[in-house]
Amino acid sequence: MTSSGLFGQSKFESETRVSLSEVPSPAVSYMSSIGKAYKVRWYREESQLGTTFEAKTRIEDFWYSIEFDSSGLFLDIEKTVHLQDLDQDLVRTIQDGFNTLFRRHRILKVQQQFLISDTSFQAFLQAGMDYQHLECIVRGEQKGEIGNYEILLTRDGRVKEVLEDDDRPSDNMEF
Amino acid sequence: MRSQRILHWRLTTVLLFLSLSLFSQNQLGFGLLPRMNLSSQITGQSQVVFGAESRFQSSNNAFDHALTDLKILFSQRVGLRSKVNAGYLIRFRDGVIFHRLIQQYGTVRKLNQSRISHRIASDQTFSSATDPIFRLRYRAVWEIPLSGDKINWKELYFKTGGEILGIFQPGSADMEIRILPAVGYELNSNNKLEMGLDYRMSKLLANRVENKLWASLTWYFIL
Repeated sequence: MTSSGLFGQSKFESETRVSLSEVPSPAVSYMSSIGKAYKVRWYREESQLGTTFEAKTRIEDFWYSIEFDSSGLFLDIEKTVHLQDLDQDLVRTIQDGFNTLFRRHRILKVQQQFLISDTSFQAFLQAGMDYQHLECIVRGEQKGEIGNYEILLTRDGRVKEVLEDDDRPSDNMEF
Repeated sequence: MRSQRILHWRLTTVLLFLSLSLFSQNQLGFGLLPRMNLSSQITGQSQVVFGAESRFQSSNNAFDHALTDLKILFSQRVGLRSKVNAGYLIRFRDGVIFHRLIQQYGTVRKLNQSRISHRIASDQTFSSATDPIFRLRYRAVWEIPLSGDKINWKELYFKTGGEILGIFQPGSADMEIRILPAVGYELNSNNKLEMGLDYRMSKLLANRVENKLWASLTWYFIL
């Protein structure tokens, strides 16, 4: 596939903070397995794929985001990691891929995506499971335009899909 | 939703309390500051910005027109997150016209939930009424959504900033500090409205500090 063929549609996503009472009960039960010691923030997300619920929590220096469908059934887990914590060969592969997509770029965020079966979150933390995908938020210049991109990669760092992410104008921060 | 409403009320109360407590001090000047900021893309890397601002100073339970500014800035992207801006401002104040040249360098950085910007600027003001004024300024602004992880259409956000200015005229130097809290509303991606306070402490080196509090209303529009 050519590098331009990896660019997909623009990403539409609207995220609203919700209280626990607005979250479907299967999702609440799932998150209750991690105990009361951790603060969980709940969000309702509207996107091209429909409505989902997302729980965000920080455990042992890592941010986790656990996604559920509209009825509260578990979908996946994403763990935010630092680029420097990844294997150096993997980072080189990722950077090489991004260098072919963009004239210049900066990686803003890296997440490991775990598409696991309905395992409890506590079991997931204890098992140290392997991730299936990486997801990077990148600010890059492509064809003279600068924007934010959400890039899905295989676990060995090859680019699978590029979505143009929302890049809010910053006129109110600059002028 | 209840926690969001509580947060909004707390923010409004803090802004009101700040404005009332400052207003109650005798040496404080108070006024209104309506502004508009129109910007338009020229190329993928450059834009032109038009600005208009008026000040209405409070005196004897009325607001008198103090000044009006019109400005034009050309903005060129120089990095993935940074821009340089250069432009011209014309000021109409008490029948005198002031001409100001402006140079700016700014960056905007996206954090996990919020954004932070830094701006270093200089300007030179000329008029027939005063000696030339040269200013060097640094401003930092932080913006965070009041609901969710990012700001969507028809959502509120909180923005706060601080600016420090060095002011030089032949034979004298002075300093000014500004504090700029505001609540913004994102109508859509091209329209934002911000309502807030613009608190200025000036003449800091002259040992006769002047405090001014402006209630600002700003409309940002992208053509």
